[in-house]
Amino acid sequence: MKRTIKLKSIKDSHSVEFVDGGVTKEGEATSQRQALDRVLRKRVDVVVDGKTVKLPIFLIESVGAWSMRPGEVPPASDEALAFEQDVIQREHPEHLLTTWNKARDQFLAKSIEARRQAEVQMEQQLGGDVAKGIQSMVKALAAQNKGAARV
Amino acid sequence: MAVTTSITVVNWLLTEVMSQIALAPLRGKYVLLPFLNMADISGRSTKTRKIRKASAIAAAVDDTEAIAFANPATMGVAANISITPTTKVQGVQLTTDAIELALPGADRAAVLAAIDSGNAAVLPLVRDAMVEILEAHYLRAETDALALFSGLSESAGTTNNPLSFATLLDAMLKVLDNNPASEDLVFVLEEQGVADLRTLAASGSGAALSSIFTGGGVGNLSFFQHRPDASRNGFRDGFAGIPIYAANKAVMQTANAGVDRVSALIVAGRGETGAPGSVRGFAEMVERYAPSLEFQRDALSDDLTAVGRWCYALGEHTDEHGCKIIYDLD
Repeated sequence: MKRTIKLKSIKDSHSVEFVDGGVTKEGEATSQRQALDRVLRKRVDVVVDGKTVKLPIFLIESVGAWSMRPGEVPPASDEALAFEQDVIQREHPEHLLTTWNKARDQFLAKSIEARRQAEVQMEQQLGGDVAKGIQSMVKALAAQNKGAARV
Repeated sequence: MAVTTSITVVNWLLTEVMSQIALAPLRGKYVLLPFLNMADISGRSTKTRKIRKASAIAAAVDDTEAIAFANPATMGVAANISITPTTKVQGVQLTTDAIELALPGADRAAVLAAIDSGNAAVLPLVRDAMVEILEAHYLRAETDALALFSGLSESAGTTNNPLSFATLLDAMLKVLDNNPASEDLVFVLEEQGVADLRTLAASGSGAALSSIFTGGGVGNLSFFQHRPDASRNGFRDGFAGIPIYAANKAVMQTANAGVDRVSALIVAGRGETGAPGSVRGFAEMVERYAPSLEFQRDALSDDLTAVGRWCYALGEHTDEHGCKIIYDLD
């Protein structure tokens, strides 16, 4: 059994996919489900509106349908149902989502600015290197001309 | 009535199969697995491995008169990371007819007798089945390991854009800025990412970038060279002194509704996380028991069933030791 769960991150604008492998025949969470659970429990401290808040790094964007092999049924143990309720179907209050989106906007703005600065820096470095290259070419040409003059 | 072949034969074959996997052509690529921490919890009284995650260490203070350790520095331990290995299974069914065809000159009775007794005559065929099963297990482990990239908090790269040097530099900054426990870094990309870099260096809009490396002498373009390598470990030389590896895209995750590839810059791990002499990477593979293979001839369905089980799980333990890298997948 498996289903695809899409997550959105507070730190970037990407949407990543996770496979939820459900539970094993012993009823234990598969390693894929363990990884998903761990990711959804990640938190980060962010300052929003002057207050430091601990926010989840990933939020669920969409939950795909189960795809089952013959004979398989969706996980129905107490533990599995608790996971479904507490982790997958968990609803966040409106004010938390507003704060989360504000924090995300902050991260994105910071990231865009960092990238812009890196690009400017690279352009400048490239410009410097090209200038050095032209300088050495001119020097070489001058030396060649001198030699020609001597002949 | 099923008859199981001798365990001794199976054990002997397992060793043989392991060596075959290392040499066989057309096998899967297992690029990331060697860079993960590895732990074995077989025989322990718990099914769950707990990895300690220590918080930052505070610097010692001057021993002045006023200091009475009102606020002593204690070694904080954040919540443990728990990884619980689960069993994965894969099997192959060889029909008796197929075995008979692989044993020219042997009649049906001889084939059945050979299978039941673990006769060396059937070993090559059985060995091939074992190789296939173990390959399937390694492939799953590599897939699970690569899937962990998606859950890294840090990220670099722009959706729908080819991989660029600026993205690699951004990823380096983000991982090194986290003050990782080890600075043994590795880029795990795939062929399209490596191709993007080669294109950029040769003729992209940043073509002059090559002057940084060849003209300025401050770096190298070693990743530009393809090196003949029969081991297929995906090594593509390095950028800025960090080795680049190309994994198999078929087992890597995508992002942004299948538009982008998820690769990463990670800290390479070695040994059991936290053990003396180990190097803390970003994730660990925890094994509860090694690959276990069994064979059974089933008279009812007239075939030989080979089943392999392996109990393990892969889990990220140090988020700060990785940065996912996102770029256009084609």
